[in-house]
Amino acid sequence: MNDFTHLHVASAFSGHYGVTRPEQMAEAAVASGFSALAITDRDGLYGAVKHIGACLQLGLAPIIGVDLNIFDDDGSSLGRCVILAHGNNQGAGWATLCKIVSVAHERRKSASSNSSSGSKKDIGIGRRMLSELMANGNCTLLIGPDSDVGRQVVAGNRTMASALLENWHGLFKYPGSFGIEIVSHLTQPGTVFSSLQARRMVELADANNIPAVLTNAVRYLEPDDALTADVLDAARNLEALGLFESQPNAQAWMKPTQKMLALAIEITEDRGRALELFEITAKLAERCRLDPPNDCGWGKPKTPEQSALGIDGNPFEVLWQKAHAGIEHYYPNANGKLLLQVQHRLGQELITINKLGFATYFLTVADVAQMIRDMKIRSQARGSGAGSLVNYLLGISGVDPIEHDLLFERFLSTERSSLPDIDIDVESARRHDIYRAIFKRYGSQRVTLLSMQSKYQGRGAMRDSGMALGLDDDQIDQIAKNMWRFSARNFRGALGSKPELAEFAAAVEEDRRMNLLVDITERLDRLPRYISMHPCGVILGDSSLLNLTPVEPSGAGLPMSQFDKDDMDPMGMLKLDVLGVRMQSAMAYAVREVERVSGNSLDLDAVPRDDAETFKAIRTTNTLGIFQIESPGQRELTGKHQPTQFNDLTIQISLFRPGPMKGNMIAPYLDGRHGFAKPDFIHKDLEPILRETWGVVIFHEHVIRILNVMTGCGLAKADEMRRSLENPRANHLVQQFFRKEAAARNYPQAVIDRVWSILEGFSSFGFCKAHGAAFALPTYQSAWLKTHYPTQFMAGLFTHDPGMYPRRLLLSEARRLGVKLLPIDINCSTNEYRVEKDANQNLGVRMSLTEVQGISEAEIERIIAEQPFTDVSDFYLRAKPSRRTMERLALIGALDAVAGISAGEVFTRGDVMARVRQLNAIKKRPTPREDQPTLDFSRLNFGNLEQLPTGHAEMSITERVQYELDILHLDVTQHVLEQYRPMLDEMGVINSNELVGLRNKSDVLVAGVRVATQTPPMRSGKRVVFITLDDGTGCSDATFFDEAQSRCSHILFNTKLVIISGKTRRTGVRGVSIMAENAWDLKELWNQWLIAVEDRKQTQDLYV
Amino acid sequence: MGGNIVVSLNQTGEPVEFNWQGASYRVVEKPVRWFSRRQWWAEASRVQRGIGKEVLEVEMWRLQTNAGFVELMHPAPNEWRLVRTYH
Repeated sequence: MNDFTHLHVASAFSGHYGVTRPEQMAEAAVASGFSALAITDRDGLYGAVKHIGACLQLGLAPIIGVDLNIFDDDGSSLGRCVILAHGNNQGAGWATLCKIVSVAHERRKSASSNSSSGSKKDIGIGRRMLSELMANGNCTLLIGPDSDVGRQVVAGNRTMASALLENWHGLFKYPGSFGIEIVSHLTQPGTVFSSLQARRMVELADANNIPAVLTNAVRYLEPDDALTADVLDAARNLEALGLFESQPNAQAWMKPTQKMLALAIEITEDRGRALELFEITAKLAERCRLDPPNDCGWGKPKTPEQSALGIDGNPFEVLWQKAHAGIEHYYPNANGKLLLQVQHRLGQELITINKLGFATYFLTVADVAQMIRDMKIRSQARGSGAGSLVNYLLGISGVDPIEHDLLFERFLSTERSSLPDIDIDVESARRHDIYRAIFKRYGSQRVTLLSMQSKYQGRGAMRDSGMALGLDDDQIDQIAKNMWRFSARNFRGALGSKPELAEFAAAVEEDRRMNLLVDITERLDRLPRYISMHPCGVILGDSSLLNLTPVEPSGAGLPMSQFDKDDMDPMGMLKLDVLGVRMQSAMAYAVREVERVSGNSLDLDAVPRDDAETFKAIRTTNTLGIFQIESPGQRELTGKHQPTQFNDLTIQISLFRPGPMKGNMIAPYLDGRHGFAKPDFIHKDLEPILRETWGVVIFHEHVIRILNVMTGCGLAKADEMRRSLENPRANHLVQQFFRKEAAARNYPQAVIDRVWSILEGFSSFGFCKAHGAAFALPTYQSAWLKTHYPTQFMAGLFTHDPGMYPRRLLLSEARRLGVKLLPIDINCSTNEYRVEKDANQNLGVRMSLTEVQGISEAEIERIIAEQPFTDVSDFYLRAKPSRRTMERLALIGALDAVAGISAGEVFTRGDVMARVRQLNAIKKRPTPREDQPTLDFSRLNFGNLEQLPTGHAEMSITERVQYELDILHLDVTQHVLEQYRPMLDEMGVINSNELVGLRNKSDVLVAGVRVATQTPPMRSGKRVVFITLDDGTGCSDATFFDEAQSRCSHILFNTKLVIISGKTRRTGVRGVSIMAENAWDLKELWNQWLIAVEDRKQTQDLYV
Repeated sequence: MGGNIVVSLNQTGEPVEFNWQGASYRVVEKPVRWFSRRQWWAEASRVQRGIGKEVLEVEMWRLQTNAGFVELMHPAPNEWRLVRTYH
């Protein structure tokens, strides 16, 4: 008997349907003794590459198909069917399958012409179209229990079923391209997926001489997983369980051969016929076995053709010339020695590139980089690519690898043949422009966007679980709010250990449904959730790209591959990460504002990278808004580290990672740097390598060099060994080699032992220095702008909002820097934060209209187009704001100037409000044309000089700030904390900028707006909560350990204005944080204080 | 329709006879087995990994006896319940 092959299997990448990851399926298939396995995901090849990879690794023959909705000519559904690609035909089957899937998604695009993105229900293919695509006979279509034929069979309409079958058969005539899928899930006799239905399907197939193929329409690995499938059904249907028809039972699992045989016998009631069913299934499986290299282009690098790059002749020669031409530009004043070094290194890099045959790849990336520059968009390479001199000379990277001692071998070597990753950071606001330009330049047949699969995690898993159970949204929100930093996989474990979940844990004890919620949330965790556009990936290939990957429409309106980033390397696809970085947009904006206001041009990339003022400003730790070093932890580290040069920034960025923090690498580095401890280089040979970090191994480059020096293996091999260190299985081979070679070079045993223990411990910690240096560049550039052009820089930050903090904190920082904040004014404000110069040449930042709550884009456009306005009614007539927008603008003072308030006239904002109320009371807005009769409105002074009603009260500062907070979420006039000043002063609350002057362990009270709550992973594994408060003078950072958390956990995650008590803890020259003891809700205290003040007043009155 | 009943099985695990309310019934035709499901979200108190099948699925049998059709539910080994009779 033939062994069985499952030909209809949904993996977890069948969104909200499948339960098991392809790798798990493949492993289980091997354990069950199968020799081949198909994955046929719903609507796409989402799990295909992972499946093929797993099969190749496990010695299983991969088969790929798709489970698609098929539509009749009139658009009605004919049910879901399976289409399998044939293999060993030089990719003909694979290409046809890709095409079918892509076409199935095109439908969604056209169906959705009036909505933003089509519904999943629209995905599918017309039967006639499908038959045309399959006319070459490279795929097989199986129609099963859920097809129109299957439904008639269940209903017992044999004649009807035969007629419907003929409709199919007439279209799919190519021999072997059409079959009937026999499935029994052992459901109740007379229903779909019952053995009775299956038996009749076999009879129907036999009567019409059509091959019948047995599958189990698998959607999970084991019966237990059926329960998870129930929950996914609810998530897909967006309905609670019980409100829709759920799956009939738990039979859709990957049954072993014996069970499938038993099933075949039960269906056919005839052993001979059952064996025949097995045989036909095996034949089809045989035909569909793929030969991944020849069918899917597996592992074969693909780059655009020379013609697409506009290159004549040998690409390597072109690359050689371009790179050498760059020397003069990037090393204009190089002396003999440096020049020699540059040429030698360039020669070596080019030899490697040539050996690997990657010249076209580099030319492609250089071409894209040049295109981006031509579009006048800021860009910068990141990642290990910054270690390549070729990348520097081609203008792809902005960091000089020789100056910063970066290694090419970390990026590329002949020891590896995978395509290297080059990531380019660009202005986020222009990212889509770049994508479109890439599509235009290389042609849409060579380019697609990359997709990504997001997974269920903590809160998302819980929300969908709660929905499945029909729980109340608010209830779920309440619980979800308290889910902080733990894997939902261990939800039940977390219930006992997290104080903020205590309330929920108690509910779980009492409420059965809460108990279920915990269990199914754990089940959902980490399952793929939905596919979306990768935030930055573009795939560049040759003109056969669309034969190798199916595509679907994306949110950006451009086609997107169904493969994700992990699929790129195995498929030999070139992925270019064009990453939108808001900071690049913010800096580009700042530079444009500098140029606009001053009239002088500014080349940020040409600014010297050793500016003393900039480093001095960084050392104050007021680093809000500076790339990479603005987080509370980085600010604390800045206080301790006190960087003085560019390389310090590279080191600091690399140190502040979970690895080095867990590996306790920061303290020894700082001790060495500040002379508290003598650096320990272990051996004199390592001193030149580790001098920059005072003996601490931080960078991948350190490890590569150490391995090279102590074993003489060469840098390329050393990087391979470094990679093996991360693999627990290969680790011991590296150890053997290292110990043997180092001993042969006469290193003492003690040195070998120590170095090995460091290397071994390093495996998960390190950071690529090239990556750190590439990050350090925008860090430095943003710090430089903040130091020398604070107004323009803050305007850029406000406009593009690049960091981790809310905009109102940046406002607070601007005030601290002395940057003037100009309120929204309907005559001056636009959709950006513009820099303005007043009569005395003082600069300020004008707040943007975009912050006004509820204002529409059309309203903003009209305001900008109609500016300037002469008075309130002129604004009302020409800008045509909605009543609500009109009122809001007035409340925040945006009409003050046009009403003449700031010019010192007698009117108040109350008067403006009164006028706005008058205007808003008019039923129909008159047209502003002059020939219109204005008589009806003469009372309201249209057309004449406007008279404001007078005598209305002025708004207090507190009221103004409150309106600003309500309408803009920004406190423009003054910091929100100011209104509580009397109480804060009485309590003895101190300002955050006074902390640095206090002694260690002083008792303090600080107050402010909670701007960040972080629970980073700690060495001890215990949870620590970091809270950052802003009080207008800067930020104070407080640390809450277990005991303090238990006192006030309800405050730490949800309260806006907070008062914290604790003790100061000096962490460095400029570093102070607070060991918190307790925290309170400031507004609660304020209310109590007001009552107390009132009481005191009355008591005093009594004694008067 | 009441508590557990005692069912005798043949070698392949198919019911051949059972007792209910003091009477004995003989199965006279090849019985039909299928799997039905439960609404675990309305009944179960836990659904953690490993117990999915037992809370979700339940085995059912339709038997032609000397006294008419009956449907038995077979939720666990040695546990049989009569759910329906037809005459």
